[in-house]
Amino acid sequence: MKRQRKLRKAKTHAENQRFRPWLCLAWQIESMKKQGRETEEEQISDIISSLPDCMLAHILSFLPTKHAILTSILSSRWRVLWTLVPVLHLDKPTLDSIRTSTLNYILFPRNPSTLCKLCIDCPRRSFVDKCVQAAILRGVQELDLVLDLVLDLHNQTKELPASVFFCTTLVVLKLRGHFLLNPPDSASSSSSMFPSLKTLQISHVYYANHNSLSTLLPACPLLQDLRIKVSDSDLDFLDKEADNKFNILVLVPTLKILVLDCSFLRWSFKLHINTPALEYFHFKGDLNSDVVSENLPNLFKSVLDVRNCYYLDWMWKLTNFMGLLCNIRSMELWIGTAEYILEHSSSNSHYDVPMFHNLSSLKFYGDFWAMWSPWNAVQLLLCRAPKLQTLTFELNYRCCIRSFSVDFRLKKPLDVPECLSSHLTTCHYKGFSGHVMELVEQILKESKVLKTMKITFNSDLDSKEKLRIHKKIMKFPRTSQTCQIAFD
Amino acid sequence: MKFCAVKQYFDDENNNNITSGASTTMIPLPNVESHPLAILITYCKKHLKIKANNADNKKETEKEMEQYEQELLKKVMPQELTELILAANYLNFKEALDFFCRAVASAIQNKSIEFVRKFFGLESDFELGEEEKLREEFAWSFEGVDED
Repeated sequence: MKRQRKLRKAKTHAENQRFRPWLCLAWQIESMKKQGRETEEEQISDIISSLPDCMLAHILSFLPTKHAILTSILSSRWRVLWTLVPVLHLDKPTLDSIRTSTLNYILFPRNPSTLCKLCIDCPRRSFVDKCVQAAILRGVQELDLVLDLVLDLHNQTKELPASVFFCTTLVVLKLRGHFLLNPPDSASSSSSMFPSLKTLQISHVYYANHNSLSTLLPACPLLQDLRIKVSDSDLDFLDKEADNKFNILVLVPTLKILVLDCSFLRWSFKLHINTPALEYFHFKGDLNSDVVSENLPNLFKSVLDVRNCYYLDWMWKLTNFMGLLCNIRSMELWIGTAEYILEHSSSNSHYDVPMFHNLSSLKFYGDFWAMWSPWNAVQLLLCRAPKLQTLTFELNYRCCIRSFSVDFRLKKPLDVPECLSSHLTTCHYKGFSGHVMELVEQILKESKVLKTMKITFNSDLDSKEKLRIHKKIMKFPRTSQTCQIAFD
Repeated sequence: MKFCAVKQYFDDENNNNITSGASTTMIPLPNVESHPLAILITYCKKHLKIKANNADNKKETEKEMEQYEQELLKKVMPQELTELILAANYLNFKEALDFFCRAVASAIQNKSIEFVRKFFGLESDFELGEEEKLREEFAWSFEGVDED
């Protein structure tokens, strides 16, 4: 009975852990304890003291600060080890329950070392300033700040302290939650904002005015990695009376990675991208507003999820947008966007998706609906990528109540895409559930140089279903003599 | 090269213009036992293989690595973890070092002091009353800790 209780406890603890792979280590500990109890004379030898202080501090850096501090009671050597840890993880339960004096002790221990990273998930506004100021004084390099949702907007919103903007040691800044982003006027200060910042991630913050984001970004001299999510609720502080657009001006010459999600932004905005060093561009949103992108000569990979195609010049806007991306080597496209392209092409649109002459890898991902006809959409895009070598699908099939299929009559029937005859060697379908066999069938039929078709089954399928699909696929005719089909 | 210490050795050798051109070079690693070294080599090979298989997809790489790490931990005894940490540190193999340190950290996370002492094989060397004082001071950190 006691053993069952212990095992159950170990299991719940394991489930609660942040790092799930260590499930088995918990079981090992249980068996060790059991062994210890059985041979009480046998002393478990000291396994840890041979490690130097810096190693022990490194181990403690993976624990929430609360647990790291607990170790100070282990032995006299461990008393101050936690102060050597260069990372502070102050989570909600810790910050909720401790006194101010204790927080001071944690932030400023007797011999404060340089703090590399501060992560706080803070429900108490009063603590945010204190933690951030302490971190800046200790030369922090990475700040990860999460501020939870509160009910009273104007009383509870925390303006990000000005000292953060001018911190010389900060390299990574991650902001999530209801901070008010009000960058100081850079013209009035002599030093530049964020002088060392390379990575910036912002989501669910409030913007003080229409230019909050556009004054911030060009001011960062070293910025390389920018990930922003903007939604309507972030603009609650803006003066909605004035007919101003919210400006997202990404004019950053050093930027290499840009992830932009404005899919929940209905308020009109202006997006301008001019990033000559950009290598990776992930865009999720619609192009209805004022969108300009230019100067992307080094772009290598792009992920696109463009929705809301129900306005007249969608195809023209998409064509212009994709035109800047036409030299990329690798692309991921939401299947819905491909489907919308098909719809617009069939309705006699004058505009065509540009040719992607250097594209060697293409992936279609996302949820797709039963009434769509993915093969036509895929084929249309394949025609624009003559040198494609690798094709990947990661699609979730969504059935709907009315199971009809809409057959889009194209302007003219599609030729067999050139890449299928000459370049496509690998095709991988991840999470295959047996729907839309047509994709697999057509690729096997049309590709002349295909070497590998790999099907990874959706984990929901049972083995009977997998066998049925396996048999069916093996019967499909293959044009390529060297084609191997692999199932996972 | 993942084993940065070994890479350093090769770079130094090249700088000294070794003309023998032998394909197998003996590299002295005085601070590493053979058993942890074998585990680290296997870990490294697996890591590189998984990375190559999922060149485009970072999420897939992480998922597969997690599965492999789970299997690996089943075979490793807690006593061996110290040796592995020291070996990974000497070889300057960051990923393995972080992995094994995380394993130790999660083994002691949210556990009582008595449990952690037993796990590490430590004995309390505080003077009388000193430990009680510390426990009082940090009473707030004991909330939510698993009972032994």
